[in-house]
Order: sequence, then C-alpha cells, then structure tokens
Amino acid sequence: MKLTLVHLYPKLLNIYGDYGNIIALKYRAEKRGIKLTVRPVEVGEPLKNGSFELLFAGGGQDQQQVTASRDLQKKKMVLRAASDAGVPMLTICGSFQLFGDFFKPFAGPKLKGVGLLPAYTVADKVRKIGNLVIKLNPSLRSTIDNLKSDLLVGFENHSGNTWLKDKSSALGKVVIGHGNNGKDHTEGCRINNVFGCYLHGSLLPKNPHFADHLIKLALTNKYGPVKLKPLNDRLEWQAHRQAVARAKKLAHPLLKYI
Amino acid sequence: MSSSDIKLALALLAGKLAKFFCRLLPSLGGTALPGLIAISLDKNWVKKMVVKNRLRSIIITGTNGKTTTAYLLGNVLKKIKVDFIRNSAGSNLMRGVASKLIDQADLWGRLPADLGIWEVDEAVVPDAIKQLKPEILLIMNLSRDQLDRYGELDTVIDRWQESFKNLPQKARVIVNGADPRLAVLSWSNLSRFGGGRFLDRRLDSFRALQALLKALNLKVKKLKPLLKSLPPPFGRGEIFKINGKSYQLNLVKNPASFNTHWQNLLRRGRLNQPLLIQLNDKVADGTDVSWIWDVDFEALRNRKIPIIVSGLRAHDLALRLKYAGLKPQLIKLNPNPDHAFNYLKRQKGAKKYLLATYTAMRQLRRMLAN
Repeated sequence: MKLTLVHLYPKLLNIYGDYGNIIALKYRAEKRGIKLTVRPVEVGEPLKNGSFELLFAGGGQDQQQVTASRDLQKKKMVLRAASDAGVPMLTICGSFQLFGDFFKPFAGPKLKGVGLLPAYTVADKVRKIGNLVIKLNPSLRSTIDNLKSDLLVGFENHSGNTWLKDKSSALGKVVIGHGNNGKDHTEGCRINNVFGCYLHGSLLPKNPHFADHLIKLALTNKYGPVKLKPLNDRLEWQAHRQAVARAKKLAHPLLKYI
Repeated sequence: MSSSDIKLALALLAGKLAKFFCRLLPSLGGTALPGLIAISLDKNWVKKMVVKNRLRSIIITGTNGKTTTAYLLGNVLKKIKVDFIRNSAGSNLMRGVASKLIDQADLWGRLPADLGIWEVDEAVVPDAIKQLKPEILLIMNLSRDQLDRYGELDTVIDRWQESFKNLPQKARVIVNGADPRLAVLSWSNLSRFGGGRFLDRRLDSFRALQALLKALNLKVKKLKPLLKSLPPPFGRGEIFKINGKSYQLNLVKNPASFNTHWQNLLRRGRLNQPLLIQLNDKVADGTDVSWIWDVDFEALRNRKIPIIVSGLRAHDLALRLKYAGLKPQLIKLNPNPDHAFNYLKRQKGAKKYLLATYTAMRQLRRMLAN
C-alpha cells in the first residue's frame, strides 16, 4: 500500500518541531509496510485535486500567516474537495487558524482563512504558553482503534483566541492548559477528517493512537476498511504518560515549585 | 533612613537569608532564589542598588554566544585589573542579576565594584534596561531558541526597539552585523560589529569582545594569546577528569547547538564514545521540548554503543532517538540523573561526553566536580 502526504508550507510554517509529526507518520506507516511519500508544497506551488491522501501543516509567526493566507486562497477549492472526500488533514497552530474562517492579527487587517473548520481566531495580547492536555471528543474516541488513552498531550504557544461556532466540533476538552481561547475549555476543531489544534510537542510521536487514526483514515479512503497491525509502542506510551504527569505536576499550585 | 531605603535593606536581608538556607539545603538548588525573593519584595530592588552604588552596566544579550562573550570580557578585565561584577553562573533572568547583587553586597548594600557585566536573556532585555540603565547594550543575535518564554521573534525585536526609549541618552548599542534580523534596530548611538556572513560562534564572540573593548576605550596588549590560554567557560566544553577518564560537558539549548556537537564528534571520529544526554524542561531550560524534533539525531543512526538518556523529559528524548532510527537496545532510558551519571561512569572508554540543557548541565556539573 502507498500513501502520499502533502506537507503544506514546510519552509514557511515550521515553528518548533512540527516536523516530528511527519517523522511519526512516516515511521508508523513504514513499520507496517506502507510506503509513505512526503511531498512538500510551498507558497506558489500547485496543489492538484486528488493528488494526496494525507495533509499536514504547521505553525508560523504572524508575518508568515499573511503570506500563507494569501496563498491558501488559491488552494481553497482543492482543499475543500479533499475535505469533502474525507481526506485526513492535520493542521496545528497557525495553519489551524487559517483553516478556519479568518484570523484577525493584533495589528493589520483580517487574514482570510479557507473556512474548512467552523471557527475564527482573534489575536490577544496575552500569549497562551504551556503544556496542554485534552480529553478527546467522545464522538471521536469511539472511532479510534486500540484506545490506550483518551487524552492528547502537547505544548501550546499562541496569542490567538479561537472560537468555535459549534462547541461540539471541538477536538477535545481541556484538562490542563488553555486550549482554543482559555475560556470555554474547548481545544481544537474537527469537521469531516480535517483536524485543527494548538498541540505541538511534537504531537503525533507521543500520541500514537491519534497518529494511527490519521493513517487508518487515509488507507480506508484509498483501499477500503483496514485494520492496522499493532506496533511495539512501549516507549510511545511511556512518553505519553510521562508528559501528562509532568503537565499535571507543573499545573499544581504547590508541587510545581519542587 | 527613608522608607525606600528600608525596603531595599529588608529585601537584601531576605535575599541573604535565602542564600544561607540554599547553602544548607543544596537540593533547593536555585542560585536564583535569593534574587527572586528580593525582587518579589521590591520590584525595583535592582534599580535601587544600581543607583545607590552608581553601578555602570554592560548588558550582553542574544540567543547564542552571550556567556562566551561575557566570559571573555571578564577575563580581559581581570587581566588589566579592572574590578567588576558578573552573573557568571549564567542565570540570566532578572532574578539571577539580583542574586548576584545580593551575593556581592555587604549588609549595607554596598558593592565591591562599580562595573557590572550582565548576561541577560532575550526576553528580559526591556526589564534589564529599565533596572540597570546600562552604558552599553550588546546584542549577539536572535534565533528561535526558547520561543516558549517570549513568543515570536518579530515580537522580540519590536520589544527591544521599544525598550531602547528607556536607555540612558548616552548609552551605546552594539549589534552584530552578521545577523540580518537585527538590521531593523535603530538608536542614536548604534554601531555594528562583524558584518557580512556569519562564520563561526567563537569568532562571533571574539568580534563582540573587540567591539566592547573599543566602546570601553580599553587597549589590551597581547589579546589573542591571552584568550587562547583561557579554559572553556562554565559548561561549554568544560573537561573534568575522574579516575583518569575525561568527561566533556556541553550545554545544549537548541537544534543548532546540538547539531554543532554532532559535527564535532563526527569530524573527530568520536561518534562511538560514551554519551549521556539530559533534557530538562524547567524555565531556564525552556519549558517546551518540541525543538528536539528539529535536531538531526538521525546523524547518530549508525552508533554502535548506547546513548544514556536522562532528565525530566527523558522519555520525549528516548522517543526522538527511536524515531531517528537508533536501535532500541542502544537507548538507555534513565530519567534519574544520578543513576544515569553512574551508568556513564561504568561505560568503557577514555573520553566521555555529556550534553545537557541548562538546569541539567548545572546538575551534572555538580556531580562531575565532586
């Protein structure tokens, strides 16, 4: 089996460790004999309809958001078609914001998004920085195989406050950290198989259930229902649990000082 | 005594007490704790100390090379017998600066020198300018290290520019011409050193030193031989000898610093020497460890002997090594630093290497020095 993953704007949107997600997807696919080809697509480069089975995009600084927003408008129709076809797409931080309706930066005009996710983002003075643990949305939980944890753990660093038009479309509920806006306890968003969130860290290596879910969705679209061969994920789950424990400790009013 | 003087004295006393307790209980660790206490009692405490002592200050900031530059300048000043205070422990937040002042001041708040060399974190520059009112501000460079503390790079540059308005009118700003990001900075008395292309870390610090000496109007004879004779600064390639074996300790804080070490090891054919990496995620380390996914650990793929992995985020690091393609049996996960260090000691080989983030480096340094 073969999959093509489009990495959208790897040069422009590549803040801190986003590449770890690509490494994880490739590693976990290839351990199962699935060939995963990573195709970088930069600003100004074409994105053809139906040319990919998976998509990933990371985050950038405000300035880079302007460029990304402009280029995304040219790719909007292709991305929409992919969303309708159920292609799994994972967008983190900056790209999550631009997959919504718009991003209003602190200075300057509103940046248009592609509107795949029913959300919008407004920059805030206060940055939301720290470990982030969320409990997966129940509707999603039931579709994930081999659910050893119903949490996702990562690290957030954003000034934007994201608001969902419908809270039930959240990727999950905040357990520790700020999430979308620090107020309504939602984190991320999901529609069809398009996912957006603020979790980097990198997200997928230490959340193998979610990484496998994306691979499974991509394979199912292309080849029909599949069941992924389990891997030896001892280290992955150790890292997952350790990161959750560390986040809990650092969120504790007293323990954090020790 | 005015009430402001009393506040200064009380904060100093509290800091001194904290220092005393830190000595009794080394597990409290932080050299920064006394300073943290003084500042929380009086947020302008540093400023008051500066005014009281008429302390002249040089602030050195930037992502890479500030410790080396401050260290070089310190040694040159020592050689020509100029007294100064320097936050040599490398704790470069305001609390670190305050701790150094507490350490050096007598009970009346008097300092033994009237010149301070302050190595200051990029995010702390605005505060440091307000409190220290420096004569010279030197900026080495800016790259995406520890974004968790200050958000975006553009924001940092903006904040620096904004904070220049609090500089004393006659202050000098010295900027590395080799970093294009810094080109937008402006100030009435601004000069650039280096220029052209970025060549090499050590050379960068050397050029910065020359610029500082020029700004201070100091002419030093035989500068090069003096610098050559210096041992490496704190945790930057320091070598320790234990039972005839040598241990080299290096600070790592971003992908660039890690990748430099791989290049050095590969160049010298030392890829298969015992290696311990300790990753912590305290404030001084950077609380976000995502950057390890940008390190070229794939360069170690052909290693034949284990890598010992330790620290508060040991599991993240072990996972990174696994995904870089290292054989699982070569990843020795040992989160406890004492155990990890003992494991390293038992490894065969005459030369051993330790790479660690800031607080981890300090921990290992204590073990190595014992």
